[in-house]
Amino acid sequence: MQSLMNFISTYWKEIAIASLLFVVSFFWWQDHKGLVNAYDASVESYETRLKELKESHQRETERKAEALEEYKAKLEELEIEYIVYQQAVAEARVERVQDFVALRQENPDQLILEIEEKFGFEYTD
Amino acid sequence: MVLNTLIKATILFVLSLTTPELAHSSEGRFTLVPQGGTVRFEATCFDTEATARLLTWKEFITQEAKAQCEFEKKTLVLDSELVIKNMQITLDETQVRYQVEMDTRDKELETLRDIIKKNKKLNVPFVVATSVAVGFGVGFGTYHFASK
Repeated sequence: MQSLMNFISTYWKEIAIASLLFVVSFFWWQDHKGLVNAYDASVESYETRLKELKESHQRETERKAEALEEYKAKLEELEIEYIVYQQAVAEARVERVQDFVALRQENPDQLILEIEEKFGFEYTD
Repeated sequence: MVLNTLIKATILFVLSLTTPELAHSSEGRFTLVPQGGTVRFEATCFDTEATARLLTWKEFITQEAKAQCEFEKKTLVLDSELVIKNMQITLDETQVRYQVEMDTRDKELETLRDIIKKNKKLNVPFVVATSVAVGFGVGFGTYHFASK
């Protein structure tokens, strides 16, 4: 005990400086740790943002592609419907032409009436 | 002069009576002519098939135009729907991105505030001064006890 006291009394300045250095280093370490934590928080925030933004862009692209596909399907359906209608009309027209050709032979008076009614022309005998 | 005009008018009247086709100004005339037959007026002749086609065209043109109009309308509606849908998607995703930005920023700010709160307690000059004082105190105290 006596020797320890002697040691301390001899080297008290060194011990004081060492203690001071230790305390200051400890607080500097804490400060540095705070900065590193702040940096980590920023990095984590940026990474989360980047990830979410990428996902959002991906989702947007997929949804738009899906909408476009849906549009194309509906348009194709419409076009088919229209083509079918046109074909039906063309068939009906052919039949109607045949009707008029037959009418010319069988009932010319009726044909005259039809022409008068449709075009407003005057029949001249 | 007056007599001359009257004579001309009389001639025209007589002519119009004798050739009614010339004087007549109707909306248009037609007649049915057998093969090899003649027509009393200048005409453009269609055969039965052509006439039938014209009549049919007249009948169907409205329907066809309506159908085409309907088709064009539906196509335009589809186009507009696609544009609106795309805009809606963009709006949705922009809102999501905005929310993500806000959330992550809030979280980051909260973390930074916590760190600042912890570091706020640190006063470096105070720490240095205290450490020096404590060091000197310990040193002097020890020296004092050792001297005794």
